[in-house]
Amino acid sequence: MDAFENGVLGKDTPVLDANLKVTGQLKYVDDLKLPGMLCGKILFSPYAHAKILSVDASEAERLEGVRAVVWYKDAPATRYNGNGEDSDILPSELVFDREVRYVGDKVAAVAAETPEIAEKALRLIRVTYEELPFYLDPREAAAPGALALHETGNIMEEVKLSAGDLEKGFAEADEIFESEYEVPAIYHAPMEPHVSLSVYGADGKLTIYTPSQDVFGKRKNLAKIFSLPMNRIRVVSPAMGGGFGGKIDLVTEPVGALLAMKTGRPVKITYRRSEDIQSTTTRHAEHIMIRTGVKKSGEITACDYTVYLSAGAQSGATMSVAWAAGGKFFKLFKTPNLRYHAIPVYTNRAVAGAMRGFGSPQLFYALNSQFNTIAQKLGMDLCAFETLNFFDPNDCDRRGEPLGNLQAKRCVARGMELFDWQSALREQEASRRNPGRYLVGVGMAAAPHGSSLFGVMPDTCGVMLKMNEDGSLTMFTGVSDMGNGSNTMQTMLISEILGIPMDRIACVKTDTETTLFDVGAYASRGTYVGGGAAVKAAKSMRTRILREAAELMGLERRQLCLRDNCVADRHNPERFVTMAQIAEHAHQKERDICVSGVFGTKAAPISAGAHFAQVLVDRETGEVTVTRYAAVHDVGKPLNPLALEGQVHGGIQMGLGYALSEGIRLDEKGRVQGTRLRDCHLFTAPQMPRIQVEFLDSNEKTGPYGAKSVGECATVPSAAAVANAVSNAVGYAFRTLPIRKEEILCHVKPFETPGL
Amino acid sequence: MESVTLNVNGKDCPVQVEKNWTLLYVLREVLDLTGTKCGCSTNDCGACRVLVDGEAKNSCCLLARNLQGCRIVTIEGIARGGELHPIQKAFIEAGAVQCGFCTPGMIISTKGLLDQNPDPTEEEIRKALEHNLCRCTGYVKIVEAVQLAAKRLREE
Repeated sequence: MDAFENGVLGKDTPVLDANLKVTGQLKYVDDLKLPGMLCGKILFSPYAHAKILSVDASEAERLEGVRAVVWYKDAPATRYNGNGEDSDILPSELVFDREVRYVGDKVAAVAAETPEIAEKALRLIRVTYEELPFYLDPREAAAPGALALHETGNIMEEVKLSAGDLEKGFAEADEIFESEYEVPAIYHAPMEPHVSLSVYGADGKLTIYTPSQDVFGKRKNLAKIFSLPMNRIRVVSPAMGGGFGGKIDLVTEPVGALLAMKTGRPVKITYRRSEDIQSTTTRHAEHIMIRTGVKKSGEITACDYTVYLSAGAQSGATMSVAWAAGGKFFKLFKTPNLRYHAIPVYTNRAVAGAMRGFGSPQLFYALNSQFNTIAQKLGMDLCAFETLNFFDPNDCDRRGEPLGNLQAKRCVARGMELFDWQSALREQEASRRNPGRYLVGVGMAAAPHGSSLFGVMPDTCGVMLKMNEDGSLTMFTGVSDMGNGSNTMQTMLISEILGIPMDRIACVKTDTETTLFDVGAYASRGTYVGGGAAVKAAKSMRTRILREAAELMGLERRQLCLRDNCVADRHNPERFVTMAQIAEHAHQKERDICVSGVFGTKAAPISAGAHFAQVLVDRETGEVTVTRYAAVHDVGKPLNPLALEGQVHGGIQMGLGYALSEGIRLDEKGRVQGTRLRDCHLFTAPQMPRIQVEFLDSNEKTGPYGAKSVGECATVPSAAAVANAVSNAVGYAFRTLPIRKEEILCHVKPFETPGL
Repeated sequence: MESVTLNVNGKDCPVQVEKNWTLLYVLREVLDLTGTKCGCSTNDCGACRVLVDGEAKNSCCLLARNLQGCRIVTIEGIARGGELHPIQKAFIEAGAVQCGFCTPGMIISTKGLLDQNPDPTEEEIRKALEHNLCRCTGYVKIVEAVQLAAKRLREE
């Protein structure tokens, strides 16, 4: 059963809906129109923190074509946490509040016949504010005497995790290193901005079409906010133009729902890009302090990690990020004495939430940066230093959690070969000895990531399979596909097990009304959990098909095998029945062939990746060019190499931006500086380096056909590898991301043109 | 409102437009050609690219009223009859399609490039895609798709 019998798995397979995408036929939510549909627009706060004293919407309401204006007086009184996973943790948000907590917070909204009328109406709403003190830095917000953003205070809940004896560890160290790091908030920048289309009918049912990584989490939250039973809320994600964590939390949906309820008309809210940049979730900005003790041999004896997380204006996923990064802190380095201390703090900026890596890109940037410094100080190669301290496969971490078949050491070893690390080091050395205008630097970083939410919450996914009258199948899955190929991978698994070709398996997805529960597209659980559910459903389907076939053929089930869209006699392949005959037989016997499979995780195997980067630093301009890049990942058994490579490539693009160009900048009033997409400085095609990607031949015995995760792990070590390369080129340990050219110029000797 | 006739995907389309309506708005909202995507409306992302007289341009920054008689090709006009264009096939096979939101614009830019330059270098390809942003692929497989498409088109 576990060999790739039907030849589907392990093959490069494009995404299922690629034909629709290359022809422009796939309907994203903004492409949908309903009769009578209104345009919803939101009025955003111009202040970082203020009390709303009054709202006068009379003029806006009188404007021809305006159908509703809503603000705090219309909003349900239920506070919520817009993140599905954390929906019960510190519910702090209202659909509209009397207090605004960041520049871009929602104040009021309008539904009108056209976007022009809606925008005009927004300008006619008169709001008076009383400005309040605000905090952009979590350390200021956490200070005694700071004005509380929420009733529960500014510090959410501190997370303290530890193993061993820290003092003993530091006492054993030959040297102790201390450093601090600063990382910015990052905009997810999916190509599709946030959008939702809300419909509320006379039957009291709310339907919301929204590109969503978590339709069930959104339904749960909407049910709570609007006091509706879940059978009267349908959340559908028909297509998603990129997510990266940004499409987990509620953003426009509660406002759209309120407007739809008020008007009885469908309401679409499409964020302009500037609104998307200003008023959706971000990666957490953090201030990190690390103290690490090492022996001369390179053995890390103790590591004490403290982080302030800037949570932004609402609770969101912050607590989960704080916990998750804490878990990851223990997952790669076998150091016996460890302490992780996270201080998540409300701040007056956009809500920080889930973003690819979920706290780990910050953590592993900071750790790998400090370890780069330590290795140099010890006169050790960074790869040797890190792998000396890595866990081995099937170890448990220092808190007793099993790591699965963790192949981090092999990732580094293979990456060194692929990248030709030794000759890259020689180039760097030559550049140091004889620096020209361009300084050469190389860097490496490694990181682990989990494959599910096991240990955090019950992590389940259900898949249903229905056989149609012609023997083709329809899969019903709650797994959100962001374009990463999760539904493709599920279909591949089903096709492999049942011998039914992929083009005879349809996919109905992410619709709370028709698909079984899934936790949501986060925690890199798509393959491990969504794939696990597909395998379970397919195995049930196999049993059902064999039962019908055995009866039809008059043979024992064990004599039969499934392949080429048929069930055949194992010993006499000429004797077979088609899937269509099987479906017909079942119907004649007054039976349907419909099964479901629910997979719940019983482990959280750790994937790993090692990234290698070479950069050129221009001493004249401070500009950095990433010239070469290699990434080696342990994903267990690679099921779809094409999709896996795509995940790693995209993860690297994000990492390069994190290291060198991205980062949301606020002015002194808390306003986002630069709300155009060009201001986000995403890496473009000409800026990207040549990238080599390889996957280890590995196997995770608890995963579907040996597979585990890749999505988040793809980006976690990336910024660290690039930052280390830049630090190594310049000979200065940069400790703030992004590393901007202005800062580089402060630390390089000016290049003197020869002969001048 | 003023009258303008746009030639879209080989068909003359007489439309009434307001002065400030962009080509993107007319394509999506008036002609229901939603394959052209709005990623920013500020000339930054390339998701709205169309060919205007053979040249790839961002439709969010072109006023419809200035395009009387121009030949406009959108993503809906790329396939050859009922069959996918070799560029579309190459994008699929190379794995250049992930979320798909940038894909129409990428394919338009590719068409614009290969019509002018059937044998571009990798650098020329990257340059031609400079104004098309993608957050999923790191552009790696997109560049490979363009190379594959160019090769196949040369062999036709």
